[in-house]
Amino acid sequence: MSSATRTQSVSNTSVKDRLIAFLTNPFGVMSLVVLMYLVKAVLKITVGHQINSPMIEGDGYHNLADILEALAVIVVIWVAKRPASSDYPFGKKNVEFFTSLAIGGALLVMAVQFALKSVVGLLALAPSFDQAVRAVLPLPVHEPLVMSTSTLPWVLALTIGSVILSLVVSRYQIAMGKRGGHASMIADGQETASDGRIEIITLIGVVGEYAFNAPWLEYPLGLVVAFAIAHTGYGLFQDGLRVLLQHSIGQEHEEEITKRCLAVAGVNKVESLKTFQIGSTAVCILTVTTEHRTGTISHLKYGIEYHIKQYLLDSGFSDCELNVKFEKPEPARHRIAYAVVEKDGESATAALSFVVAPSIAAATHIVVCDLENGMVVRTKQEEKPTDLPAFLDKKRVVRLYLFTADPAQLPGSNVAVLSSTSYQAELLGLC
Amino acid sequence: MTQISCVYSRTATGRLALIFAADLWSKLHSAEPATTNGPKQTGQADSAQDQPLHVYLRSDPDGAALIDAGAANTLMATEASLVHDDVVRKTKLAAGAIALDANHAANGVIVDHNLAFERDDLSVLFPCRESTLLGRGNGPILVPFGDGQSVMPAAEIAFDLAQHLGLPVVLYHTTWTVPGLSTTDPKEHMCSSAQALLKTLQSMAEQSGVKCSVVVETADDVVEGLLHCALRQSARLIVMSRSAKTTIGCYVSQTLRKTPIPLLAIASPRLKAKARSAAEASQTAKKGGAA
Repeated sequence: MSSATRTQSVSNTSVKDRLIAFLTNPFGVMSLVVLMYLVKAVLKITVGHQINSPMIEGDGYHNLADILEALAVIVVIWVAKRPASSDYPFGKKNVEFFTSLAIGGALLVMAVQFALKSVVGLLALAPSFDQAVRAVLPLPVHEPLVMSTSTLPWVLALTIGSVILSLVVSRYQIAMGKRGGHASMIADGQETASDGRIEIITLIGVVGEYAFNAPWLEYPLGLVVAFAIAHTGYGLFQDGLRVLLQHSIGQEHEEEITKRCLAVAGVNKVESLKTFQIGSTAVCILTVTTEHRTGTISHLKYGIEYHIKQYLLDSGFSDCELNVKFEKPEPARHRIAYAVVEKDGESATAALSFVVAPSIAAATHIVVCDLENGMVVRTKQEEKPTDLPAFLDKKRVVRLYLFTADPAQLPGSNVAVLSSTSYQAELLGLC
Repeated sequence: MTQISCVYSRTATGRLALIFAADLWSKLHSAEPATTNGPKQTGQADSAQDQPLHVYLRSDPDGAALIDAGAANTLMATEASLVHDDVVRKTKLAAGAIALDANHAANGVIVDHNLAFERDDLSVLFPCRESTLLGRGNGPILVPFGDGQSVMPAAEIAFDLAQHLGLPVVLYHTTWTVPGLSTTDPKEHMCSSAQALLKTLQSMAEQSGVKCSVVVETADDVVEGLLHCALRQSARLIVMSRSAKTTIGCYVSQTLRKTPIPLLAIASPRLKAKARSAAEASQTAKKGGAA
């Protein structure tokens, strides 16, 4: 390969790479959105003015407002991408959800307006009923579609082109927004898609009037679309509100996180779990109960964090911040005692030299054991007292063990006397 | 099939080990091997006759004599009966499925918390804080391997367990990077003996009909690397062989101290033989002394 050809190839690759980088960059995406609205606005205002259609011209001005909204989204994304600081430890990612809130609210208003127009259109089909309703409710004036046969091709071409642009660009915007974790871009994409749906209904109205002489067709469909837009708007509004008010990321997510934690060997219980969202980052603060010691806990932490992160990323969050705390389980402290026989001639090692007695009469000593989590953590060997029930009561002992299959209960005592399965101190964890 | 046993002790860890051993025993004796085409096993009752759950009860005749010198044997029998009832109650197994032994089984797997740290001549399953093998859901058995043949006894038991329990096996290897080799694929950095061993292990898996996957990486620390891999894969058991050649820094001992996942430490045949000959020599000396 010659040097010139190689240079050409390298240059082509770098142009391609730069193009991909531009098309996947949020600012690049939003620049294309601005361009789309600009083209739509210019065409709609020009054509609408030429054919004297206030509907198309008005829609062009609506697209000019969309340009301002897209520019606002660019500013919001720029602010959200600013690095974290000591004043804003999680960055300013939440600013994007103000856009969701605003666009969600705007879509709800748009849905109400569109539904109202459709209802007015339907009422116009039954003039007497329309009059009766208008006597009670102040409804807007119905503006029927007025278009000449000569302007039809222009209107059709413009509306079809606009629908295609809206639907393609909205999908692209939503996909790139999800990829980069930009809620404002997703919200703007939803708004573009809603515009596209309204344009489809306009198109159906035009086609219905001229092809089937059925202009009423657009009104019931308009109500369906109004409902779809309201649904999208409500979703965006609610998402924005939930994030800004630090609502949990959802019960189903929390249940799955708990389940995955409990699947990690060594985890006894998920004591508490708090979740919220900052931008598209999920934050989890959890306290886990484990009996393991520090050396093992670092590995346990790795396992828990790995599985939670995996789940959250698979669930659509772009990142996660995890704070896992470990706690020992409640020790359930209590005392038990064994009646024992001390081995003769081994007084120097008396604490280790005993066997469990078969009866209180045969016992020489009482070994009082402190238990934590079912484990003997401290033992103290005392000489058998003359008043055993009072002694056990004073020591707060709850059970006394004897090496016999069927031990007799202590008269005048609430302490349960139970059977020790072995007489060997070692097997009972007493030495 | 691998013999399962445990050491009786009426402590919190003893109870945990007993329940773990009984659960493992039940799973092994009620499950049909994944690749068996023959008639199904009829379950716990039949297999219990051939291979019960062995529970080792240390005997202490001196202690019994201290209570009543004339009835030491009766006391020891009472102890055995009480322990047997206790084991049946805790494990919920049929009485015939449990055999009390006076000695450690030299073969098979002993489920215990202490022996794993004390005896390198026995194959000991350290259950950690888990009360069952698959209580947290199914997961693979992790078998770490190096470049030596010491992994073979571990691999044999791991594939046997995996086959009977219907679990997959993950073969784990971590290697140092070869200086000057630019490839980032850790497999390319494996030494030839480790690569040959991997092929052998994979063919063993194929023969036993066990689903097997391989993880090779260049971890900074062997123990950390294998534990992290086990946690990522949600492994339910790690099976490692002890090496008779390692004198300091045994990976099995290091892993035992840090693992939250049950670990089966397999005794090396050489260490087993050494312990056996030492025990025989001690017996002979005792007999000589008595004579």
